[in-house]
Amino acid sequence: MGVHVFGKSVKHNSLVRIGLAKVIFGLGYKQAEMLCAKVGIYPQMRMNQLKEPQIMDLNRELSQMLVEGQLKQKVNNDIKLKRDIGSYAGTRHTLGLPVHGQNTRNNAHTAKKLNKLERFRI
Amino acid sequence: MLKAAGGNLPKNVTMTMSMRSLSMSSPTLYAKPVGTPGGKKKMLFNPKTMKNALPGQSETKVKKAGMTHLDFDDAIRSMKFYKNGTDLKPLGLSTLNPNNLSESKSTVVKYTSKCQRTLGYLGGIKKFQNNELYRHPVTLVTENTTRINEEFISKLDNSSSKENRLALIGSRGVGKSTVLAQAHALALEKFEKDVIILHINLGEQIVNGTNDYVFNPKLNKYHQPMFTKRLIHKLRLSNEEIFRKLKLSKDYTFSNRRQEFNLKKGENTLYDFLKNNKDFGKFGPNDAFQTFLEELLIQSETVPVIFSIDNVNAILDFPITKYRKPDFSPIRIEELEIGSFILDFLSGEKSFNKGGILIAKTGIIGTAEKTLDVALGIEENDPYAKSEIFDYDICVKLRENGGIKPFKIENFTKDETKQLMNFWRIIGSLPVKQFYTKEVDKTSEELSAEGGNEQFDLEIQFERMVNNNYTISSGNPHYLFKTSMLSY
Amino acid sequence: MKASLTLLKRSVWKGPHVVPLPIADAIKNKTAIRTNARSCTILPQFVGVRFQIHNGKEYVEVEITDNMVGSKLGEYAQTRKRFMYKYSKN
Repeated sequence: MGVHVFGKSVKHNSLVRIGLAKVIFGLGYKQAEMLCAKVGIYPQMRMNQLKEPQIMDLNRELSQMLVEGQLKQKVNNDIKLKRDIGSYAGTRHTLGLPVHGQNTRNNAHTAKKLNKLERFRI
Repeated sequence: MLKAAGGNLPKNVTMTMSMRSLSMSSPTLYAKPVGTPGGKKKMLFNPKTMKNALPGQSETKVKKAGMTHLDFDDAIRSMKFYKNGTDLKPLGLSTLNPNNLSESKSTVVKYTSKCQRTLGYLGGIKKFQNNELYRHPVTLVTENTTRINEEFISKLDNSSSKENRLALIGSRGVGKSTVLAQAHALALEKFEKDVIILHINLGEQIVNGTNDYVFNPKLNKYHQPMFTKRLIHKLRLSNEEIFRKLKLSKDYTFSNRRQEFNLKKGENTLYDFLKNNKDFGKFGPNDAFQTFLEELLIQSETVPVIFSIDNVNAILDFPITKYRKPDFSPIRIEELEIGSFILDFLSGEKSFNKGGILIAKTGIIGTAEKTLDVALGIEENDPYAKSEIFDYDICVKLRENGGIKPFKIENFTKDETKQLMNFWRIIGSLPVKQFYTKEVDKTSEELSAEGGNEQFDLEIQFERMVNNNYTISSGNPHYLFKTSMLSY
Repeated sequence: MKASLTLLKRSVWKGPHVVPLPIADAIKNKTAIRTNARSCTILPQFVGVRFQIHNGKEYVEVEITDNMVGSKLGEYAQTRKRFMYKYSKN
């Protein structure tokens, strides 16, 4: 069971502000609260109580924010730019190594997992 | 089932079947299901039966009620334990009435059935008051009851609500909500239902963000449709008789589901207005609630109005609500339609011509906050207090027009404690035994038959229990319930 | 204090860390600036100027572009060589 907001399925019995923050990339708890206040959704409202116009309002507001695909694209572009200007951070990304001066003798698994030229596949 | 608060469970107390199923360690869980044949049965291959089910389970499974996922306090409510209570009819309890208060002092009384229904609608009979012990709610007439009758109920029909404002205070579990319910009942009895009771039983529901809200540009306030609708519904049910008597003072026209209503002055009643007007719950700006208030103010010339709020410190001590404006700045209580209505009447800015205002604190919410305490003059004003625990604006507003008078609820006296425990004993909730927690539980006859010289006197034992429980709880009803081991 | 969020490391009141460099000369004569100041913040005025930045051993030549503004000079001169395994003779 899910309610579809911004092309994403959100669990039906979660609070709107929490459900949105959990599902939508780039939307945190605070931002979700702000979004709810803007649209006029009360804090304890649940996803299944949302009416069609409210979902449309949410979609409209979300489409104006930098979330999901657009945000992922932006992150990718930023990494690419760093590589293009020949910056140290850019080279570290291409090597798949930590950017902020962490040790690489051991571990550094997060960096190996995440640091790529294309961080997100879109 | 015994409420295991005061000690271990005695093993020899008979448990009711329904309660036993609550227990995880109960032997009933290990008992074989009824209808299962004993011994091993030889299994034969039979495609017909094998297809359906294994032998023994072939009969359709009967779903058994009884087990519950709720806590004890919730379970006894949802499982309707009051039905198991002793029949109180033979006891001949008198009813709570302002006229016979002195005679029924420190005795257990009942509400009249009409009164009980009204209290039920208003939410006056609350959770965790252990009303499930009895067949129907009962209450103890205490010193507080007499005092509230003198200080509040007697003034209802000869003073305005501005001059008749009381705040019930006291430590946790001392019986503030109970006195509030008693006050309602006394008022209903005194005026024979010719009294309007506006009651908000859970103050926190206004501010905790559980209701929808919409801006009303005409009033410059936020309207809470869901809450207002429920409140009006509750008030309509509980005040039905008096609302049916009150004729409207003005003509009102409104539409409801494509139907036009023209209510005429002096002909239609306030009940018709509340029944047919669906604007209270409409998600959009409207002035239905304001109209209702204006009408009430006019009607209060003839009929006393009691406006009461329980858990009031959830509103007044936390004036910044959970709701937010579109720009994410928080909404204050004054900016809510209901909130401003409450503050107007609490401060005496608006006043019912006849009537009174009664507010009760809760001991659970906001123990650190000081706004209400300072406003009532219980605590000194600390000019350096943080804004989280003290709100200046609210405090000043509450002190207007002479301020609200604090009404301290006192603990039970020893006599009252004894009377209440005696009542429990009569209805069989309080077991009086020689050894309270030990397995050895013999009657005095058995003991004498064994040749023991210990004389077991029930009365002395009961007296001992009263002394013990009164000392532990110091007469606070909440702790008295906790220390007494009561069986449902 | 939102202005400082772009750098996250330095207080706004201090301003960017800059060392005196012959920028005007470099633009006029179109010569490269040889410097050891790796920690110097790149200002918008630097755009188009060639720098020879010390990497600890030699001077690496970098031309400053628009996108580099706000970062440090040292970011564009790597101090470490990539490790390469060399086959031994035997």
